[in-house]
Amino acid sequence: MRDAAEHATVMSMSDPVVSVNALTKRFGDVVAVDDLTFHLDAGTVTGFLGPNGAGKTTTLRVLLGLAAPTRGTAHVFGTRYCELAHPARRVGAVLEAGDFHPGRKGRDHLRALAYATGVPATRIDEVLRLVELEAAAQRRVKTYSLGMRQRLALAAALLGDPDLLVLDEPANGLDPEGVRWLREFLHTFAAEGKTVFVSSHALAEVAQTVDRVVIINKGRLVTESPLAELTARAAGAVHVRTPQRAELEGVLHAAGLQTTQLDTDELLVAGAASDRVGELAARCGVVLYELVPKETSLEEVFLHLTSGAPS
Amino acid sequence: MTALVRSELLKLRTTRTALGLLVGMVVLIVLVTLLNGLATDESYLIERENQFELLANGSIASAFAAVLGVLSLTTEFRHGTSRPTFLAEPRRWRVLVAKLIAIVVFTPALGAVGIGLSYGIGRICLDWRDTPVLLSGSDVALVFGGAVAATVLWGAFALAIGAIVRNQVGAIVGLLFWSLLVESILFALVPSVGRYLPGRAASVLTEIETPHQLPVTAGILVFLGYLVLASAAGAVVTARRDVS
Repeated sequence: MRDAAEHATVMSMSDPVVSVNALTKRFGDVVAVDDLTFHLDAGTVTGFLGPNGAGKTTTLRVLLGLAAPTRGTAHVFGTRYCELAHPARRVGAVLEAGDFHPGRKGRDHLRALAYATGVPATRIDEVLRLVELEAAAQRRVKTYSLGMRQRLALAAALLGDPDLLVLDEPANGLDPEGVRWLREFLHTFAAEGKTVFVSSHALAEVAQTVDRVVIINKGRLVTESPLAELTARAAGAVHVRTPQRAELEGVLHAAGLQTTQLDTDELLVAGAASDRVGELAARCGVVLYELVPKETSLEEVFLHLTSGAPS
Repeated sequence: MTALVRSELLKLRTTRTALGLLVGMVVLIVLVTLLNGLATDESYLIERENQFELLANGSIASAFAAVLGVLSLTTEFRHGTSRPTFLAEPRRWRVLVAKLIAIVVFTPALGAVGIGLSYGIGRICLDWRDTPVLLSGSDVALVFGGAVAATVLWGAFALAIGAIVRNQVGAIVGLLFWSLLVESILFALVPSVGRYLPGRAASVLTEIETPHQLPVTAGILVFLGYLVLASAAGAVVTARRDVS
């Protein structure tokens, strides 16, 4: 269906899928995006993170040709979105989960977009199956739950079998089951070597999905890095359960570590790897029942990064 | 472009809006025509221009076509479907052209139903009251052709206004306010200028022997001029303005 040669001429394998360079977008006096630069490589799953109002949605709108940049460029597959030959067959996007006419049936919404995208009607059934919405396809959208709307929007984005999926806050309003479903869906999508760019105001929502993060705050880039790097920046806390709590506390304090007592036999050790805590305990003959590294502090790193304080 | 037009035609028929407008139009035309044909004086209905008005009541369809035209784009902005629409076709002028074609394809049916109703009911009223029909063959042709043409032209013009104004309620209220109030006042005060206003120019299709009215061809050309200007402005505005 798709012309492979067309792909080859537009970009080589090494070109970034998304390339934002010195992008600035102003609305009157308000600078929504401020000299933002970042790139996404093919096959990566990148979280686009920042607090509400950081400029994520504006960046995505400019990237997708819905808004014009004030300065700078935002390219997909090496060119402006509107210059792609069949943009919806290269890029699938969900910007708002509520982008439907409430009185239109889910299937008709997809049919209208299938025409505009230039894909055959058989593709409609495929995407409905992908998002598990076949049973509700003949119902009007106003009868849909929020989770169903999210999945219909996702189905619309997938119509063109895109190589890049852009999702703006897809987890908003989803129940835990919906979040889990979305995470598994994105894993499957990325496993095919495709690229995902997913925005969120909460790192925890996407931490299990993404392998890279682009963090912005107040329209400016805070950091662009692999998730592992961000994890490494986390101070690292270790949860310990031991029958010799007081003894272990003494050992750890002597080694310059800070501890918090959680229970009569439980401690939280800050600023240390589990290896070090284990070694210190062994050296003094302290028995350990549990030794668990805590990675929840990733969220704290994120909050720290986006609170405006230098990292 | 064919696919885009199909997409727009599908959008038109997959909500209840068009059906609702059709039902409302039929009810209104039947009522107005019956009232016009039965509750009027014998001396009134014996006049040629009044007979024309009676049979041409179906041209009210043009107002419903105008609502449909306004809604074509404004509904997309209201419900946010403008986003997936412009993602699928980022060359926004092409979406507008597809919508224009869809309106031009869809609205003649509205006009035909409307004028068929009023002509049929009107003729029955005239027969029933034993009033001789004074309309010529060309008058009858204008009753039908005028109503259908007015329906298409108003649908297209309203699409352009919707593209410029974007806000659904604002566009509809603005159109009503303009054509019912502003034009009427201007036409009453300065008919030599007022007759060149869009609504007055288009009235050559649905009224005869109104004082100061433009000739039919001139009226059509003037309205087409407004249509081209509004469409161009609508296309420029749609292409330039950010989609929120």
